[in-house]
Amino acid sequence: MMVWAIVGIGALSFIVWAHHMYVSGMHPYFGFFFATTTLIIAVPTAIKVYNWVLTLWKADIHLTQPMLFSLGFLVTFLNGGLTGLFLGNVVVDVPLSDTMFVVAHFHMVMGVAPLMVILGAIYHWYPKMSGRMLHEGMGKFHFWVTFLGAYLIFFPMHYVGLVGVPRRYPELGDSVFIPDSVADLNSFISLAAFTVGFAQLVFFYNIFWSLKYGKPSGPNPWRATTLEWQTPQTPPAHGNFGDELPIVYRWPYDYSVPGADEDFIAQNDPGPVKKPQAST
Amino acid sequence: MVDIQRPTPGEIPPSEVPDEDLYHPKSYWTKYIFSQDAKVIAIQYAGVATGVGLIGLVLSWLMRLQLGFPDLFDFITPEMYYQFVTMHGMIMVVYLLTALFLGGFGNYLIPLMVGARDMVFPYVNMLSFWIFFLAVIVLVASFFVPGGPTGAGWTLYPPQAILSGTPGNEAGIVLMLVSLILFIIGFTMGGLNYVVTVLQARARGMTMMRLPLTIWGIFTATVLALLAFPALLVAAVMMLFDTLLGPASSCRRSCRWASSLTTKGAARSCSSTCSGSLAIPKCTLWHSRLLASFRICFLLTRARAFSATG
Amino acid sequence: MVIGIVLVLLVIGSVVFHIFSPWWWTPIASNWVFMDSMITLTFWITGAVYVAVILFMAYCIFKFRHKEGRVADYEPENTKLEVWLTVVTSIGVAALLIPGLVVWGQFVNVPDDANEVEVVAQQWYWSYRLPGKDGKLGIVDNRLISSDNPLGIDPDDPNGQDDVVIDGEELHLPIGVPVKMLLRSVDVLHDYYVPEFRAKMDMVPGMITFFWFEPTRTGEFEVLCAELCGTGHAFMRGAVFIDSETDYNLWLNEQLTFAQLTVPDQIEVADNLVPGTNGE
Repeated sequence: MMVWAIVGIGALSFIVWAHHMYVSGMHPYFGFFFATTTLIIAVPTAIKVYNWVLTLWKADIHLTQPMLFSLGFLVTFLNGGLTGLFLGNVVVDVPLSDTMFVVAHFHMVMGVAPLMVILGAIYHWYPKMSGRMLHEGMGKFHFWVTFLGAYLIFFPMHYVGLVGVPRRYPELGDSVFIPDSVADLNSFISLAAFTVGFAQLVFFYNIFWSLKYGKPSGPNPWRATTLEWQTPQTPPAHGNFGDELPIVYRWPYDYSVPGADEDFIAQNDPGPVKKPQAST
Repeated sequence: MVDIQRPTPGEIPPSEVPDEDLYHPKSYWTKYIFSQDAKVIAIQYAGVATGVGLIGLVLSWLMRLQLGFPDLFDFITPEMYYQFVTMHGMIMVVYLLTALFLGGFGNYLIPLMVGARDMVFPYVNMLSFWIFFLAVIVLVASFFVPGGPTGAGWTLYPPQAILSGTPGNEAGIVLMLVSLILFIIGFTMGGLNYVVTVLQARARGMTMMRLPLTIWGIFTATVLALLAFPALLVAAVMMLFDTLLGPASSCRRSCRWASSLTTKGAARSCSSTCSGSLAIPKCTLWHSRLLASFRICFLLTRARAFSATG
Repeated sequence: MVIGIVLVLLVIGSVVFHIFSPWWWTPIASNWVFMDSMITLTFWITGAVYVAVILFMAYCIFKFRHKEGRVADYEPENTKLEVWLTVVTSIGVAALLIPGLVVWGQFVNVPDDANEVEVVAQQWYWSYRLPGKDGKLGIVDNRLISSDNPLGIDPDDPNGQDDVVIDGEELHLPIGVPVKMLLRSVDVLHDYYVPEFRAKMDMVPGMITFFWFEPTRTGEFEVLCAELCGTGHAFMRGAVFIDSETDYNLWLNEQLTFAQLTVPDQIEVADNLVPGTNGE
């Protein structure tokens, strides 16, 4: 189902583009069409978000570093996706277009959320690539500053846009309709931005420090099912899988299968040997 | 999809193509520099993308300095601010996100997760990285040319991007477009690798529906990008022609389009777009639609598909 | 565990920020109150979803965090839940889309009795043209633009002779009269945006775009350019005054028509033929 949602989003995404052009002067009737397709594409996206969130239900949640970033991703992607509903609805886009609301929206959904994904992915696959775990304390610090800081940068920015401040303006001048407090808000956002930026130094230091001093991870520290964790060498050598390529028996999400020995069943695990069938 | 049945090894279909011999590097150069191993290429992509992303990060700081403390930093003029805006946007979206997600993570994870030894076209994969690297060099070079980098906004709206009221309209925009063209060429090479590897090089028993969702996300995003980037390439080439060869290259069509759109009554300024003497609004309709729409279409599609990692 | 608490605080903080935020849209001065209503409706629906999902996540993190001996529930599919969620999301999306498109329908259908005003944008100031006494705007051509003819009005068209030309000055409009703004650009993309009117539209060189609105309160309002147009983009400001009918007529009488703009040249030419006479 998730696969169909991805494919559906991919296909639908080819017929939504003019939601960036509602105020471009194109024929107004296009606005009806593209608003509809844009809001339709929100449905498979929502299904995916529900899937991720509901996976937490009755789960067994290990709050590891990649997990923290995944949760951070969910929050920021949800936020960004929901503000997209404002902008996709054509008539709501008219006052908000080309204001800082748009800037806040796309940074949240395309900047902060992918940043959470990238960082989470690096924390997740670093043990596979290097054979060592990243330092946990540095990782937690990095997560908290990045997540909270980035949220604090872009959440208030929506309100700057709501006031009517346009984007791509290096300064506001002394416009009457902009209250003075917007300048304070801008200063706050800037300070948050510098803080988050500097916190990334901790991350880069962690990467290089852990290469030498990180705890050895073994081949599958997260006890994951997918094939990259089943390579004979960690980090994987040239040729990836040694002499024999793996044979795949199952889908990648056999976690906590009732009756299984371990909490996970690797994709290339054939499972208990079945009695040969008479007809074969 | 739940696999209730767990077939015996005999029921897994045999591989469709025989296991091919991998290319084995012999010298330092072919092992670490011009490596054809997707894992090394992935680290190269990730390193360069992160490096240029740090430049983008510093640009964002400069922008926030100006926005947060407007009167304090005199050296940030509006021209420079627009150059920061443009380069920050272009770097982050294209050279960081696309290169890192698809080039970095894609290269590393796709062969491992589908059960292949490497990508299906390792030599082309290697070329794709080095063309990407060249594109980054050209982009960074635009900071050092007279006039500085382009300040047209990352959407590079024509005709404003090539007019004198916009910073970097002489050399900066040319380098930006050349860099984009190079990136797209390199990306197409890499993208073909990702798509064909996922479709053709899966291990025995790995059906499409047994692929991890990470791969589905990267695969879909690559398909979308392969379809959308060529249109951006065309638009970039057209804009290069406009900058370097003058306005006649795309004048006539925009004129015909404009005439069909004039409203009743007020003004019919179609002919104004085709006046040969002014270097201005020739190509707006085609270019602004083409460039903006396809770039943004691609951008959005990729952002959505990336939500699917995991 | 900490992250669960932080998520709850984050959601509460966001809602509190929204309620107490002094940064809200500037008071409206046009008939497009429905745009504001749509924004409010969207905030309610998306806010409810946001709060619900994140609180659910926080609950799951609390209740299902890893404890010794805990095993996750194995439930890879739940088609009934998927269908139910899809239906609910579609209803939510439709609840946003349908009113939005109704208002958009109003936005794109200009009332028959609307006045027409042409707005001419160029790097980096605003000019305007009113139809004058005959109620018709004359033909223009950008190639005719010169220092005597700043808007490029065709001198051969009789409809253009009485067009009121406002070159780089402020625009006045009468209150309570719907007006269709015809937008034209001389050089690059611009966008005519007055935050209090809520409506905006790009000006695209080579075509005439439009939007309409009806002013509902008097006052002076700032015009901003909302589409990047070069270095002067942030400084391309103008002013539009909404006047009572008497004030508007007073202002209108002081404005020059196209015919009057070209006449002084003739007088100057005549004066130069007579040495020693000062021109007007």
